[in-house]
Amino acid sequence: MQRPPTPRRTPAPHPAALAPSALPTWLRSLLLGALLVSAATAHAAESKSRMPSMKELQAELDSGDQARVQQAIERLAARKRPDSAQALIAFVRAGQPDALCDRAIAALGAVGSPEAMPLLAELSRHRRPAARVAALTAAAAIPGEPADALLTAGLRDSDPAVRGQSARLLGERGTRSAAPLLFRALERGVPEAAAAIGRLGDAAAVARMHGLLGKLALQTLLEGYERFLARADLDEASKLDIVTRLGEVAGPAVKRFLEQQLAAGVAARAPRLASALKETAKRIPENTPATREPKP
Amino acid sequence: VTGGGGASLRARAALLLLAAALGACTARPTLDARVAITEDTRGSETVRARLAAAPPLLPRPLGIVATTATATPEVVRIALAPAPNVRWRRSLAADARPELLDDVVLVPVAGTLLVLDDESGETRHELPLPGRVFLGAAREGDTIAVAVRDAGDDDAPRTHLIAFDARTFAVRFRHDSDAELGRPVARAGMLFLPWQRQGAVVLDLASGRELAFLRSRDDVIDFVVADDDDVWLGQRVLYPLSRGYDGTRATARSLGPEAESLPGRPPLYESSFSPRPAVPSAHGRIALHLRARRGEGGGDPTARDDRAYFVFYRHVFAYDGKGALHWARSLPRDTVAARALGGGLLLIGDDGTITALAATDGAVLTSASVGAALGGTLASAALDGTVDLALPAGTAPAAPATSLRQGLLEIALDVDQRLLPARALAVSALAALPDPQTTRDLLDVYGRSTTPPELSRVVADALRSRRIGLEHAIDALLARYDFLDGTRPAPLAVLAPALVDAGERRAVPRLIERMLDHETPLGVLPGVVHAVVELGDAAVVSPLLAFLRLYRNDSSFANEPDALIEAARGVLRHGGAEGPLQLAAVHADGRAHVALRSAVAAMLAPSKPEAEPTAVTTAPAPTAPLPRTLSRADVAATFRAHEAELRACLRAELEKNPKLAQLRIAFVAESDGSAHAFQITPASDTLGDCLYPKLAGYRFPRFAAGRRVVRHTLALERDAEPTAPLQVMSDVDQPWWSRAAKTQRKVDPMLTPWWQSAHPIAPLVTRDSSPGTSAPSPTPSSTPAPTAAPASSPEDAWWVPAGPKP
Repeated sequence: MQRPPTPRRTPAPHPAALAPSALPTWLRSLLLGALLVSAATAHAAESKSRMPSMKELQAELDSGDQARVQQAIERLAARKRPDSAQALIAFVRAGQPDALCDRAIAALGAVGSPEAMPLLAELSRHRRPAARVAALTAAAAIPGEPADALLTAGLRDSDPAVRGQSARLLGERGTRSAAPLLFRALERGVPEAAAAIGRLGDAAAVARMHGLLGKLALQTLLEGYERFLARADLDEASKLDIVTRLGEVAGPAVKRFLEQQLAAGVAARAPRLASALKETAKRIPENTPATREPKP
Repeated sequence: VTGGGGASLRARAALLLLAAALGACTARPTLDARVAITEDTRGSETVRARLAAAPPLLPRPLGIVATTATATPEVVRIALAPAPNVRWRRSLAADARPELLDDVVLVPVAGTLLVLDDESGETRHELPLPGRVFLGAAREGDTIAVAVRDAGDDDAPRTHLIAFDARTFAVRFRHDSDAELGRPVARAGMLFLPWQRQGAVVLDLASGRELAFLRSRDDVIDFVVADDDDVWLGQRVLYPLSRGYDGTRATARSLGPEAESLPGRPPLYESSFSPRPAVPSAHGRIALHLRARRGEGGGDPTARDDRAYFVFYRHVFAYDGKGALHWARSLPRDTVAARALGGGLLLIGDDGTITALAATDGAVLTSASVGAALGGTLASAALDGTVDLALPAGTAPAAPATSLRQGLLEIALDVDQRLLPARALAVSALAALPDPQTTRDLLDVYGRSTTPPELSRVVADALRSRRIGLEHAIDALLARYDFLDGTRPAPLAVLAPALVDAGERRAVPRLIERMLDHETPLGVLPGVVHAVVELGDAAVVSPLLAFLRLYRNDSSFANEPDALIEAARGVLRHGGAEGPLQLAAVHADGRAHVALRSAVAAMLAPSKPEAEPTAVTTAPAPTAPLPRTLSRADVAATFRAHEAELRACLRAELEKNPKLAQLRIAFVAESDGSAHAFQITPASDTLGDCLYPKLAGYRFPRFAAGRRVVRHTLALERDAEPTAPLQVMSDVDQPWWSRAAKTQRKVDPMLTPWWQSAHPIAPLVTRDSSPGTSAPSPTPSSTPAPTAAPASSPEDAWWVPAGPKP
């Protein structure tokens, strides 16, 4: 199939060419403004006219040429219009090779149309983990509870990549209702859940994470603590508690972590926290092993 | 008669009489194995008359004499009245199980038979028996008869019978025989000696003179026992001697369950020819217990309370005289001895717990332990006594009865792998119950991680044949893998065919759900889709088509397109006039996988319009004969093919457990190549969660012989050498991995791989590209093509639809 012809462009006249020097200043200004608006409109129209039509994009999608299909997918993603979502949905449902299928799913996320949710829900149970990851990522771009439900269901998946991505996305979306499930996932071996909890958890979540010290890998929990410390909406008492608990664990990893947090400015506007970070890090010797590393 | 001649005659006559008398006393032809070959049954009428004239037996108090499994073996006398207690104990390493004979206890110890006082345990007499094995003893009145066998000559045993006075210990008579004699039984002034596994010699207990010779001409006689009112001999059946015995099966009587079908094939009674060990063994732990009673008015014999109890370590099954199961009960500890009594069964646990179970319903009438006084576990025990078990009026049982279903389920769910045969028996019995809930129970057993593959197979077979409670099977379809909840997928390999067999159309929506669920293992997916096709109607076309379209070009099915091919068949079958068009659309743009495209093309090929829709699956399969069973090499090769993903799971486990050297995987491999009921040892939750969905999706080469329980060991290596392969231990001559590593196997893309030939649809794939073979007809036909093969063969996968047989 041939590439469709590019639409003919109609360039807008340059404002200076039309500006009569004899006109009063106010009129000149008015005309100049009008001309600028006109030029901008013409430029927008030009840009718009360069985008292939939906029919043409559909033809590209059906071309069977992988490069052209990929380009069509990207253009559909850029359009961000409902008919783009419809075309992509139909494209995925028609059965595609893995790479194109996954790109199209990602494009659906870029379009962000709620219309795609039913398909994304189906694809969250696709047999390929990569497709499921793509579907969940796309769903996460669509606001609303259905996407939250898909992501929490993703924590139950048999594939660790799907579980990890679900946890990450829940954290990024700030789905606070998912905190209990994220804790279960963390305890069952989904390390990504720690950072997610750090993003959305409250003071109670901080306390619950303390309970996992010594049970889970310290590095995993530090990712969660890092998120907690970086948050402005978490009270200072909880943050100080984190520093205290980590000080009890000690070890070079904690020392390094506390120093990094101080350097990152998490306590820029919290002198007590800054002092606690500094003092605790200082108190931990360089080569003392952590006291609460989980047993192998 | 006068003179010397007369005297001479009298003297001769007297000598002859004396000789005859002496001969009668000393002649024992039947105790000689060689002479007796030609002998036939004689004297049974004497036996019958003596038994008929004998007074009824008086109840004897219960008593137990046991040996311990402690470092210093002991003989322990346990009395049951007024409460169970240890009457005495002696440090004696018994060679065989001691016997309690009224006021004495016989204990064979190091070539000497100790006669101990029952009250005090003190030695009253020592009978030297050097080089002899104690078979057993019997007592009636003051006469004790002991049977022993020469040690170390099992092929030609020489046995000895010694009868002595129970008070003076004077030997009353003694017989040494070349024949194999067994443990004696005393009753009605007679001594019954099992003989050569062919019958019994009956002696007069007072004199040792032979009274009768009872020889079977058509059966094996393994025991002689004296029960409540008769003496019985037999092996699988009982011959009551009070009816007379003519040496044929005519007088044989069956009683209790069909012992042949019970685990361990327990005899009705212990063999009289085998010594009873004093050390822990299956003796007493696997046994049938009953008390045979003479039939009223000459009728068939019955079991006391109409119960025969089958004990398998700590599980008890109670049957009636016709073999129907009435109750089952699981006890906390292994049983070392039991005895059927009036009103129930008395059992001794290896911890010294004495339990009485009610004959009617298995309720625990009473339970008491002498374990605290033992200081260890019991190795063996002998129970004597004939009292009846009964609860005093107004007394509640120690533990109430449970329903048969509950009892069986408890046994089936036991985690003790030693007791697998009993668990399988319980599963089979559960499957026979008409209660719909039993289907759920069976599914529960199947779904347990503690259920080994052998038992899973029994459960699967049971589920396949059940037609009751299928709503539970449908509900079970909802079960799916869940990482957080730790749930496993539904046993679809079992459920789907069972639901198809039962024609359960209610299951279709959930089957579709499972079809679309990525957690459904790829290995069982063709079966699930097949079930959707077989049970569904036009309503399933839409999901089948959506499934087919979505995955037609997806790598998930590139190597195993069977599920998609089956979905295509479903579209064609239920799609009506639209079906071929819809399939053609899937096929036309050439995007589908080659195998799928070929299969669809074959389905759509022009054919006789009246062909049966299912004919597509009944075409002849030009495949090579299947191997009889799944070889270890095939198993190893399959695991090898999935090494990378296995390694991903194992890496995390090795980090937690660096000492983990190997992983044992057991599972049931079906002949169609699918596998289920995986057992992973040692398995943490995380490892199981990671491995299970992967393992369940593996396909093994097909084989002809039903199913196989496979055990496989993976030798684990740390990731220090990332390139080192995950080793699979196999006992084939040459390590397969070394062969595989040396020579990369080249696969001809034109050849039909095994997984395509695994299904009857697969031949369509090959036919499509093979000239000279006719494509099967996808459309209805009342006349099957002449070349059509039988609808299914033993080698077919289970989802092959039934069709006309040649």
